[in-house]
Amino acid sequence: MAEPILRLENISKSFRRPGHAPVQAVDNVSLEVGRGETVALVGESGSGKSTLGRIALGLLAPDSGRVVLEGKVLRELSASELRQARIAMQPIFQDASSSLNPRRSARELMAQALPEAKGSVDEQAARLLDRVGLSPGRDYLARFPHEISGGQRQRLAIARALAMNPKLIIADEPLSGADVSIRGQVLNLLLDIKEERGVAYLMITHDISIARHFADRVAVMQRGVIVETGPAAQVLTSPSHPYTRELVAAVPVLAAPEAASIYR
Amino acid sequence: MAPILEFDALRLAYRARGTVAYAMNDVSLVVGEGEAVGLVGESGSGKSTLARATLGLTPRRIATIESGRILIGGTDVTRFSEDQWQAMRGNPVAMVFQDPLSYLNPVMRVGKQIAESVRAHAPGLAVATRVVELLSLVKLPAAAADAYPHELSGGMRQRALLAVALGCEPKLLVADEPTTALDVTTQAEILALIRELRERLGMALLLISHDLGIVASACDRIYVMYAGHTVEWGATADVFQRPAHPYTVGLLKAAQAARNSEGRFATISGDPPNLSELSPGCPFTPRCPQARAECRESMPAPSPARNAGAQTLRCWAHR
Repeated sequence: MAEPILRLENISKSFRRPGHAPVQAVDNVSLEVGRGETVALVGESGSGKSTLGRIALGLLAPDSGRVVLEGKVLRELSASELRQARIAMQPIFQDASSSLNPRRSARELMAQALPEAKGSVDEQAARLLDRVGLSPGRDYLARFPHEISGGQRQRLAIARALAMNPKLIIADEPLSGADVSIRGQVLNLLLDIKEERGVAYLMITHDISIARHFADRVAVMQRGVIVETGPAAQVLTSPSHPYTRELVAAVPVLAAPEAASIYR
Repeated sequence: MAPILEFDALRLAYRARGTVAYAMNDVSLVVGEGEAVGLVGESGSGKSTLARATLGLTPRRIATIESGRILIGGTDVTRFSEDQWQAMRGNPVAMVFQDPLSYLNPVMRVGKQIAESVRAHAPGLAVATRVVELLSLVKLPAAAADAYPHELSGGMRQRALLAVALGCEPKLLVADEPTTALDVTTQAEILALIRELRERLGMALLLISHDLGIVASACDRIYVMYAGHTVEWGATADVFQRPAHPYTVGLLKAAQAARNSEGRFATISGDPPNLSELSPGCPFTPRCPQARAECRESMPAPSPARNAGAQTLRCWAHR
């Protein structure tokens, strides 16, 4: 089988606070993301899903275990090799307003991410902004993050991630801040990008219905351990682990409305 | 009997640094005694402003009620002074918020905070006994009385805030996104608790949320807000099963988070409008699949839905 884009092998991480017992945030977890695959990591707060995401991104060192990106063990790389390797893996966070420097315009934010000496920065930046639905992209170049809406900021963050031409995007709750009516816009954009570029996603989310419909595969985390994994539609429709069952049952069900044909 | 809460064609503007934003535009809403009413809307729809206005909590320095009335139990409170409002807060109207930690006193034990609210509203009662009762009512262990808010989990804090609110014996509980910060399993517990409390105490509920599923599971009637307007309202079954306003239809489809036959997620194109740049027409026009010429001109008066349930809406396509 082809080497997966990301392999997390036996990852453990605990946090210590003076006067408290150590918290085992991630306990011997292994997870793979195949090339072009979409994996959702779901769980409640404190399950360790964000810690695992941060370890995958190399933002946090595990106590034990290995992060293998495109066959390369991250820990064994030199600083410059690590920088190079990490370009293949880009993050998108929940809150684009805190992950985008507020004092930089869209042009500057994009220029930082674009590879040098590949034609006009403005042209490339505008093309990517067009791609994520900030069109015409040219008109957005001079804008600052606070001058655009929350949904547009998240799209700017996606355009910035795309500038690196990543093979894997790790998205931590990318839709928690987005209104319901525009959530679909962002999800459709992520689907299109996957189709065009063969990007793989590791999406960390607490939202069961998004995980069910967006991901190919899902891993359910509880108290630092993956308790169930498998095809997203199957696991989140007929779960077998008691915790997954509880999680799925707790989501309030909304019946599909009738006569909704005015929208495509 | 007069409804416990009534907004009558209310228009409320925020003014700051030379800009005006109409957070509530001709909003009419009624909550009957003991009724559970849901208010749904996205960010910037005005739903939290409405919640605050039910307690006179919109900031006086920048918020002005330009027209319309607010009535609580039949009393016109629209022009109430701060002192007059103070007498309404807690009883008859109490409120719980999304982040209990910022509404509970961080340096006071939970039991003492509940006791304060009991003393303020029912001075004759044996306070200590009542605190124990309230804790058991919200299903907190008696030991929680000795805890400080930061020592409790998120779900327990929301229960503690509920106990403080219930200590006032409110006739109406306004809950603004009470479970948004909680995990789904804890959320389900808090919603079950609110439902149970409502039945036991006969209290009315105004539940405000961006989450349609939560409101559908907890409320008899629903109002949908968009850009400061109530655009559709009626029985939950009518509004959610057979929505009529194009915004409600799109919102419900998007909330399913399901993919259509082409594998696409449902969505409404465009972004919510800027409340300081509103035109006289329907604010949903730029995003509406059924927009027509008159939509740009004015907002229609409320009318019954055509080919849907028994709800009311403001939409030219249904005139």
